Parts: sequence; C-alpha cells; structure tokens
Amino acid sequence: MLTKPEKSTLLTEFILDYSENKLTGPELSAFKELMNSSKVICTAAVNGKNIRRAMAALPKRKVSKRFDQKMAAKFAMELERETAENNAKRVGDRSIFTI
Amino acid sequence: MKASKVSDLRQMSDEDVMEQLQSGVVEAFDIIVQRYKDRLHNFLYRYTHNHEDCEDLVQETFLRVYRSRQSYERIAKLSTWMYTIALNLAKSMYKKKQRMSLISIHADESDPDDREMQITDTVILQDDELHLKMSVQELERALQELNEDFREAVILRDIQQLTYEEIAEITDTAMGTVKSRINRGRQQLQEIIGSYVNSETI
Repeated sequence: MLTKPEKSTLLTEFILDYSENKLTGPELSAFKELMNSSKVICTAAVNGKNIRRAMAALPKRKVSKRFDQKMAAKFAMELERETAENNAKRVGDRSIFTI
Repeated sequence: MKASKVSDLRQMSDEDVMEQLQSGVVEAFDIIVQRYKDRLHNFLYRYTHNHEDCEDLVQETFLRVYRSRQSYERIAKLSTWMYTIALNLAKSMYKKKQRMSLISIHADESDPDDREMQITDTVILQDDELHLKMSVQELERALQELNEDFREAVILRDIQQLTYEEIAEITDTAMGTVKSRINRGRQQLQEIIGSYVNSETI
C-alpha cells in the first residue's frame, strides 16, 4: 500500500516534478489517478506545490546601497594586507640570500 | 585597467572572469561582486534574518573567494563554488548564534534602563498588507525551525532556483538525498505553518 511517499524514490520524484509542474501530459494524468487513490500522496503533492510556490514568491532580499562602498573598502584592505605579506616574504627571501 | 578591458570582462562567463582574477586582474573581482552580491544576500538572509549581519557574511564570502582564488578549478561552476563557501560561513554563523541563544539574559528590575523596549509602529497596515507581511514572516520563521539539512536544500532549490546537481555538489550529498530532503523539507514546512500560509497569501 502506498502510504509513505518519503520512502519511495520514484514517488518522491513524481511529487517533486508535480510540485514544479514538470510532469508531461501522460505522467500528470497517471499521477493524478494515483493522487485520487491515496490521500497521503495527494496531501504530500499538494503541500509540495503550495510550499514551492510560496517560497518562490518570498520577497528578494537585496544588498543595501552602501554595500559597494563597504565592499570596496574591505577589498582595498585585503589588497593592502596581501601586498604587505608579499613584501615581508620578499624581504625574508632577500635576507636569507644575503646570509 | 582600460575601460575596454572592463567591458570585455563584463561579457565573459563567470568562469572566464575567475580565470582573469587568478591571473592577477583585480578588476575581475568587482565583476564577480556585482554578479553575485544580491543572489548571495538573498540566500544568506534566510540564515541571518538581519540585513547588516547578512551583508557582513556576503562580504566575507567574497573575501574568501578572493583569498582562495587559486584553489578554484574550472571543473566546477563558479556559482556552485561560491555557494559552498557561503553555505559553510552561514552554517558556522548559525551554530555560533545557537550557542549564544543558550545564554539567557534576565532583566535587572532595579535598573531603570534594563526594561523591555516598546516598539511603536506608526504605520497602520491595511488588512491585506498586514496579512501578506505576516505570511512572509510566518514562512521565514518556519524556515528557521526546519532541520538544517532540509532547510539548506529547500532554500537552494526554491529560493535560489538551483538545479539538483548543483545542490548535490554544494551540500556534498547524493542527488537522491537532495531530492528526498527537498520533498521532506517542504512537507515539514507545511506542517509547521499549517494552513496559515499558502501561495495565494504571498
């Protein structure tokens, strides 16, 4: 009996594809028949579709207008740190060479 | 760097831009930042729920991308590699936050400054607008309650719209596991929020 959709890979695939509107015509009608015969599968498929839609509709969160400025400042510091590190390495190499 | 070179960079694929960065063209870094800042922010926001913390994480992600640029190999998509870095950062931040939330702070009644803040909302929302705002909050809150593995799979799929293959690579799990986590994550989300939020409400 089909009662645990999460335990069947094939069923999971069908539920995911149904939630994302990816089933072809014949697949969809076969799956709808299955949904009609099992309340558990029907609930899982409808839940999946609802959540998928709701999640996709969540407002997009963008960075603030000050982000570029802050990022540029941090990157400049990173470049400075990298240059200082490379210089220190070079000085170290030269002193070893001198010795 | 000449403007023409910057415009050349803009035409390149992510992976080509990264190759330029690896060969010392620092302007390539800005191109990567511009392409990914909003995508990463939208992703990391689901972990921080705070714009400032989130921006700090996005910046840290970019700095780590720069620092480890030489370890990037073209066999992976740049986006996948970046999401992996962002996800690891988000996870460690989330764990730190969880540890911090275990420390309870009791109000000192003798201190007049130590009292609950009253937040006055001067904007009275219309019913629909209020419902919409609450639905979004409800769904975002429910996401926080979700098991960590389920949450990252659902966010990467439903918010970031990544493919199963990309999610499998980012989370370092088998594709079957990814699919199962997405399915179970969605089911759990629906259980948490009940019938309060549905796609029509949002």
